[in-house]
Amino acid sequence: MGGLTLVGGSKGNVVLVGPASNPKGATLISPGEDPTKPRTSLLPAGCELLSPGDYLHILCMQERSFGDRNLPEPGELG
Amino acid sequence: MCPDNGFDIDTLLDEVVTLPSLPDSVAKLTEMLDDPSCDMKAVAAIISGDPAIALKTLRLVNSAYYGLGQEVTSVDHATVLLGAKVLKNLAMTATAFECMKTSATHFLTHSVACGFAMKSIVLSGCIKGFVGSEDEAFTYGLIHDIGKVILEEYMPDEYAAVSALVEAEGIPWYQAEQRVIGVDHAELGARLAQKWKLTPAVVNAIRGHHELSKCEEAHRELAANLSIANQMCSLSGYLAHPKNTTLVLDETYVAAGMTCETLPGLTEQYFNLHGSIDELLSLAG
Repeated sequence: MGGLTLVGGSKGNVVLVGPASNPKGATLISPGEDPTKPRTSLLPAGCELLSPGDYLHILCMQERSFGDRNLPEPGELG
Repeated sequence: MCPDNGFDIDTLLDEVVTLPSLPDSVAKLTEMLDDPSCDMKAVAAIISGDPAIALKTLRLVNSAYYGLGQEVTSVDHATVLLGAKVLKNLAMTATAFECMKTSATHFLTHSVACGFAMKSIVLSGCIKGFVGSEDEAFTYGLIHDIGKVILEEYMPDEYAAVSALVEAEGIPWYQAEQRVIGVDHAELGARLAQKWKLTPAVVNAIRGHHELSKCEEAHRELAANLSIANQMCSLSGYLAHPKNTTLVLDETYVAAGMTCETLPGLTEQYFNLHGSIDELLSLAG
């Protein structure tokens, strides 16, 4: 899970549980209209709240953490 | 030793750095291909006449990456199978590998990965103004950081100071180069591309891949896409330097015409090419 600034300036969080090929691989948690009820949306459906740079970061992190193409794992030397 | 306020690019090129020449064979090939009626046998003869480039070109042609399904034993055969333009890209790739043969593995890996990222961008149709092939795009990604190879060769002490500054302050590599040397690898790489008579689009894209403002307006889309390709490599674990950070502004994505909607397809293309990185690296040495 990681925090990020959403389009518009509010803060959100992303939870990664699988690769991008898994429709439920990433969830975005953003402020809802009711501040006590955060809004959750699966990516890529909720990507309109993200900057392209942050979304690229998420897609790469999903592949590195959960993908089967043997990209360097997060924390490994580039 | 750098002057106190660093070099300007012209002084650096006059006094310290000699840009490598494009091999005669590749330079002649580039000239010949400007003529649509060029003789294919003459094209093959030029490459065959340069053993180092011919050997590397044949190794590339026979790699699984090109997947021709048959062994190609001569440059004549390669020319017939692939056509002169593809062969020129292969020869350019071979030349770039020759320049980078003493570079650290992580730098080479980053360069090859960036080649694949650029190829993916073209295959995904993300660069509307790009008229070249995906193989050309690969070459541009491959050489985008070639200015670093030159700086490291001619200014090893200053380059070590750049690395130390990046580590100490966490600033992007090109900014550390500007502070320590006065000139960054993007400008030097652009001068090399100019010397190699690459197109103005490529020269500008290399010059502007960290700072779009340094690129002529007409070529900013390609420069922006090169910048994103560079970031994609770093985010997928292929950093040019272990402590390197890449910073790509939102305006770069706008200039590239890239949105969140295009990214999943693009990254899939890129990740699918990842399996070929090691093979191409083995051909670089």
